[in-house]
Amino acid sequence: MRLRNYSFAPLVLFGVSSVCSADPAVDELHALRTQVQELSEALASVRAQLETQERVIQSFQKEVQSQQQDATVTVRDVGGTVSSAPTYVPDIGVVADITGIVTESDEDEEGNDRLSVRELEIVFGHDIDPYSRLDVTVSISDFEEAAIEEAYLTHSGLPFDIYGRLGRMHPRIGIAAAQHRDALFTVDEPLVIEQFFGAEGFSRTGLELSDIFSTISDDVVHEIIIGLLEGGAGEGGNLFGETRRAPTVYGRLRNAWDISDSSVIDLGLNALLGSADEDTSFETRAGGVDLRYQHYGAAFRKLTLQSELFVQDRDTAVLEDGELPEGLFEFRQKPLGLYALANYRFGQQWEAGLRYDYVQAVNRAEEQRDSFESEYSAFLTFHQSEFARWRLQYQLATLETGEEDNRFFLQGTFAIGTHKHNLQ
Amino acid sequence: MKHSSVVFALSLSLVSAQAAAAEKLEVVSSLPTYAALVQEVGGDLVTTSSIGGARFNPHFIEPRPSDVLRLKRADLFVHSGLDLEAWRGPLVNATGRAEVKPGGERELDLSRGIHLLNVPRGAVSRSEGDIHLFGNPHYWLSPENGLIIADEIAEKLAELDPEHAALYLGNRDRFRARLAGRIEQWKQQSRALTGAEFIGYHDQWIYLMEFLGFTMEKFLEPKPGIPPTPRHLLLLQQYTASSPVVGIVHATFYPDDAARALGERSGLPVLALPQNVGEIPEAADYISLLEYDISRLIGAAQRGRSHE
Repeated sequence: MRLRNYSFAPLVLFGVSSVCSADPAVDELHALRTQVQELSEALASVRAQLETQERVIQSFQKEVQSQQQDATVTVRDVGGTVSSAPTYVPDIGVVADITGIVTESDEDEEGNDRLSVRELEIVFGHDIDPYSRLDVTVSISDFEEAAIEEAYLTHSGLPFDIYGRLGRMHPRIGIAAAQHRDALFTVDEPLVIEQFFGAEGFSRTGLELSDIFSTISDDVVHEIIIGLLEGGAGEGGNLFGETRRAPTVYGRLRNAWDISDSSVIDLGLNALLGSADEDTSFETRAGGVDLRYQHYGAAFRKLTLQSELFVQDRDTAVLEDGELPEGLFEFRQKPLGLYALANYRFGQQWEAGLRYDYVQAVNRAEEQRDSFESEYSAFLTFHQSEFARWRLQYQLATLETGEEDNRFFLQGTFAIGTHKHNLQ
Repeated sequence: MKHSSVVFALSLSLVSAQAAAAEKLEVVSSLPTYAALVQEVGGDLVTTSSIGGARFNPHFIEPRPSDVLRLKRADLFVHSGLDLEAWRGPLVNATGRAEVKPGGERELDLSRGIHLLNVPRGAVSRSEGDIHLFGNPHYWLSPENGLIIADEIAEKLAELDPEHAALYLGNRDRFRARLAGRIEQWKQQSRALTGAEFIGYHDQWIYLMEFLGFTMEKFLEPKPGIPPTPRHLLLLQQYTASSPVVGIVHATFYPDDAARALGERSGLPVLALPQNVGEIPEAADYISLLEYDISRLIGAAQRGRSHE
C-alpha cells in the first residue's frame, strides 16, 4: 500500500507543478504586456505620421496665406520678379555690354576709340505648351537698329528623342560661334569667328536637329547636330555671300569625355556647305575641328583650354571695279583660321587668360594668298557679383599689311532679370 | 556538348543579369544628398546618380553632355525645386523631354512638402544680393525635412513602380525609424545649448540651426552671393567681441580664407562642414552627413558655453 501511495507522489508533484506554471493569470498578464507593447509601438508610428502630416498641413496653410497676401500685391511692388508670381509672363532678362575700345588705328570702326553700348540683349523665354518652348533674343546697340539675334522654337518629344530647333538661332557650329557674347572669355570674338562667320558670331534662320548618345561607355558621349540655314554669314563674315536663297547646310559631331568628376574633354568636328556666289549653290565648303579641356577645382577654381580651327575651301575671285582683271582667273583657295585660348579662374571673383589668333585672308590675289592677320590677347576678368563683371583686355594685332596695332578694351557686362543660356 | 552547355548557361545568366539590371528604375538627382536618399528608399530596385558633384557648389554646377544623356534616359528626375539650381532649366530643355519638366510625370520637386523658411515678402531686388525668391532652398539639412523627403521619394517611386510599392514603403519606414531615433538623440544633445549663435559664410544653414535651436544671423557675405569684404570682416570682428558667438561655419566648397581670418582675429573656431553626402569621406550617407555636422556644431556650442 505504501509503495502504491509513494508511486503516485511524482505524479501528484508533477501535476501540482504543471498547475502552478500554467497559471492562466500569468499567461494572460504576459499576453497583455505583449499587446500593450505592440500598441505602444503602433501608436508611436501613428504619432510620427501625424506629426509629419501636421507639418505638411501647416506648410499648405502658410502657402495659402502667402498666396492670399501676394494676390493683393501689384506688379509694381513685385519689382519685376515675374517668375515668382503665378502668371504666364515669360522669363525676361536684359544683358548689357558696355565696352570702351582704344586703338592705334585711324579707322572709324564701330566702337573704335570710344565708350559705347556695344550690345543690349533683351531675352524672353517660356514654354509655349507641353511640347514646345520659345526663346527670343533681341539685340540693340549704339551702332545699329534693333535686330532679332535669336527667335527659335524648341520642340520636345520628337521621334527617337531628337532635339529640334526652328527659327533664327546661333547654329551649334564649333564653340565660340554658337555662344552669346556674354558667354565668351574675351571682350571680342576670336578672329576666325569674326572674319569667317561675322562680327557677332553666326546667327541665321533655319532648322537644326540633334541627338545625343553614348557608345563605348556612359562617360563618352556623342552628339550629332545637322542643320539647314538660309544663306549668308553674319555681319562682315566672309565664309558665305549675302544671298539668303543659297542655303547653308552644316553638321557637327561632338564628343565629350568625362575624364573624372572634375574634368571633361570636348572634341568637335564641323562641316559647312554653302555659297559665296549668288549664281551658284554649295560651292563653298568649310571644315573645322574644336577642342576644349575643362577642369573644375575647389572653391570656384576652373581651368579652360580651348582651341578651334576652321578651313575654307572656296573659289576666290579678286575683282577690280566689279570685273575680273585681265589674265586673272578664279582659283580655289583654302584659307584657314584658328585660335588657342587658356583661361583660369583662380577665385570667386578673378580670372585671367591668354588667346592667340591667326587668320588667313580671303579673296586676295594668288600672290597674296598667304597674307594673314594675327593677334595676341591677354585679359583679366573681375566678377563684381554673379550678375556683373568687368573685363580688361590688351591685344597686339598684326594686320594684313604687316602693321601692328595695340588695342585696349574695357568691358562691363551686366544682367538683370532672368537670363539662362541654353547649354552648349 | 559540355562546352556548349556551359556557354549556354553563361549566356543565360548574362541575359538574366541584364534583364534584372534593366528592371531597375534609373533615378537622376540634382544633388548627391537626394541620390543618397533615393538609394535609402529604393534599395536594390533603383540605380541612382546626381548631376552636381559632391565637392561643388550646387548654385553653380555646369552640366555636361553626359548629364544631358543621363537625364534623357532617366525614369525619374529628383531635384530641389525653387531657385537653387539655375542650371536645371537649360539642362531639362536640352533633353527635349516633357516628362522631366516641372509638373511632368517623371520629375519630383522635393520642395513641395517642405515648410520653407525666409520666404521674401513684398518687393525683392538684387540690390539686396542674390536673394532666393521662394524661400531658403537649403532645406535638406534639417533631419525633420529628411523624413518628409523620404516620404515624397517613396510615394513617387511607388507611383512609378506600383509592383514594388510595398518594398519602397518598407524601406522608407525603416529609414524613418533610424532617422527618427537619431533626431530624438540630437534634440536631447542640443537642448541645453539652445540659442547658441554661429556666424556663417552663406545663408545655407538655417534649417539645421532651427532644428538644433541655434541661431545664425550674421554672415561673412555682406549680402547673399557677394564675397566677403575687409570692411565687413571688421564689422563682424567687432560684433563677435560683444556677442556670444561660438563658432564660424562655412561649406567646404567655399573659400576658407575669410573664415580663417575672422577666426584668427576673434579666437572663434572655424567649422568647415559638408552640405552634401559624399562631400567628405565621413558623410557617406544622409545620417552620417547630419551626424558629422551636428556633432561639430554641438561641440563648438559646448566649448563656447563653457568659456562664458
